[in-house]
Amino acid sequence: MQLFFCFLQDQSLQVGVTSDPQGRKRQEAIWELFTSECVYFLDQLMVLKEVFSATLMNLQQNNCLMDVDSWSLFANLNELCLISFSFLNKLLRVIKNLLSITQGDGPTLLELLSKVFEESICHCLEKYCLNYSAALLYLHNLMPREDFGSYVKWCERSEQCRRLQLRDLLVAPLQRLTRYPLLLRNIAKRCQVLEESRELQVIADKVDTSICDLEGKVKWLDNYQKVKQLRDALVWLPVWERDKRAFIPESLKHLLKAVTLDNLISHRSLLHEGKLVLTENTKLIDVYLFLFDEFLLITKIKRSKKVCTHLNLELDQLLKEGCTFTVLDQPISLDRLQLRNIDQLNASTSGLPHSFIIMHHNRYQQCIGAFILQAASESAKREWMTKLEGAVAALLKLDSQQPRVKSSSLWLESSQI
Amino acid sequence: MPEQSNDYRVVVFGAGGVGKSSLVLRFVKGTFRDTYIPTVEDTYRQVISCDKSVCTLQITDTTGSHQFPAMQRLSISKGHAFILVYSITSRQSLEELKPIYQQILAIKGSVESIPIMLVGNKSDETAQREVETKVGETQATSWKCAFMETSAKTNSNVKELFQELLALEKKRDMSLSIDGKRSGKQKRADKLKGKCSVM
Repeated sequence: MQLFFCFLQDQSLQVGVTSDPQGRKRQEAIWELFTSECVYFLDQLMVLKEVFSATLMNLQQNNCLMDVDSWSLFANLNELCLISFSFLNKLLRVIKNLLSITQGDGPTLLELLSKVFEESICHCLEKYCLNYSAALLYLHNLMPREDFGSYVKWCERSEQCRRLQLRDLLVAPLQRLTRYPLLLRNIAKRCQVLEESRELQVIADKVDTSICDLEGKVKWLDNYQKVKQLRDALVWLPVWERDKRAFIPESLKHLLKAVTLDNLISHRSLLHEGKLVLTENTKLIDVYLFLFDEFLLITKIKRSKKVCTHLNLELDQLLKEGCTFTVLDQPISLDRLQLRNIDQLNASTSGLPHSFIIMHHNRYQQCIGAFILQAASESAKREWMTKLEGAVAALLKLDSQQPRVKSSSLWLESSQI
Repeated sequence: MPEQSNDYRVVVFGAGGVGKSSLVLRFVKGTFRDTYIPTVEDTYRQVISCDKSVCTLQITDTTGSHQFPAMQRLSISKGHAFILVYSITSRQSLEELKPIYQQILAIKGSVESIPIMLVGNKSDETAQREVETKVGETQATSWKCAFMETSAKTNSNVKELFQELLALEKKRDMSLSIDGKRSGKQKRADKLKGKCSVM
């Protein structure tokens, strides 16, 4: 490591000795890739490893924080460190050759970059990124603990952190990944040799593709986790509780029970969700809507014993506070859903601003349910209507192409789900 | 030095080359560099440090990340106040701030109580102007945030930018203090402001 510092000090004065300005620009761009990787490696990865991860290990050897799983927090940090370090070493050698400081027969810049990005960096960062949101959740749950809290605070006090918090450091690899294409394109832009420039573009494009792939996976994972949490919070009332007329003698209830399908929502993607106000008779009730790719759920929020002070809580927080959502009526299949806008004129005469109507049809096109929903603002209403129309159109299009595959939409293996 | 977790954090967002670092450098050190401008930069600078309170500025380069909203959402930094920088010479740089604003909105729930400044930098480069002042103002109005055009190069409006940002924080405190409720964080911010007014 010392070696880097010496070299940096040495070279920062000498870099750019080339007299021709275009060549110098190229050198500067390569130099930026190198120096920014140094910062990433020394100030971020190694701080995580040497300060946070090592301290945790040390504590655990002394029987403290035994239940904290290091991998859940840091994932493949060690691997990231090794890869970054070896990349730096190789890049340094290439730079030295370029500047004719040493005469070596190592790989050219192109060979190195193409090999490193294809074989290790992207793959390794992907592994880290996919664990990242789970790591944040894990951290969030651990932070209130006194012992863990003091461990983190103690580490953050270290000078090497430069007042950065654990979270700022944990996010560094994600940010680094999206920077690579920029850095590579910057070098490509300054290359004089057309061939080399094109090759660099190809490498940058490959990194882009891999980020794109990762984006899809992150989205999928996000949705998966949300839906999983939601599944436990949704309450489906049996028919005799939903509808007073549907009286079923206690002794016969067992005949009906098996029909309730309460895992309807697993493997679905949640397209939009949020709170609206439902006009019911003369009452206004708060409802929470979940728009899935195949149907819409209108639910009533049931708060846990704790009184929620905030009215506009996000879904995450509602779930965290242990709220449940009771499904009103039944799921509205999107091919049976019709949307009616309540325009300005009608809105003011009926005293229902920012409202729209959702109608539920049966398969014979009879209306079997109507819901007047009121949004908090005109823009929120418009967003809901757009999302609903989009979801309906997408489903109808999909249906016309191929019959629906039972109830589970099949998840593809990513590349932008 | 107080604990890091008590720092008042200002996060500076903007695409590459709009002058985030230049603004911060100008504010902190009073200098402007005209030489090689890095493609990517996310340095972390300690700005205001007084006996009990520290205000830190975190610069986040958003270039390229707008194509990846899910990744962007994961990597967005948490802050107490936000500066959204675009360059008046690039319409695209203003466009790139839109998803960022949406992310802040999504994370914070509402932006009304959070100090946010929309900043059009490079106001000296009038010949290359692509974004009219009015466009910036309109955007700021629809985002319910403050607006300013600056030039890190000619040192125009830089100090004012940071003063205004802290003034926005003050408004929140005043409206909150009417309720008689003050959390520890606001008290800290108050203390901080007292110190900052010296600058």
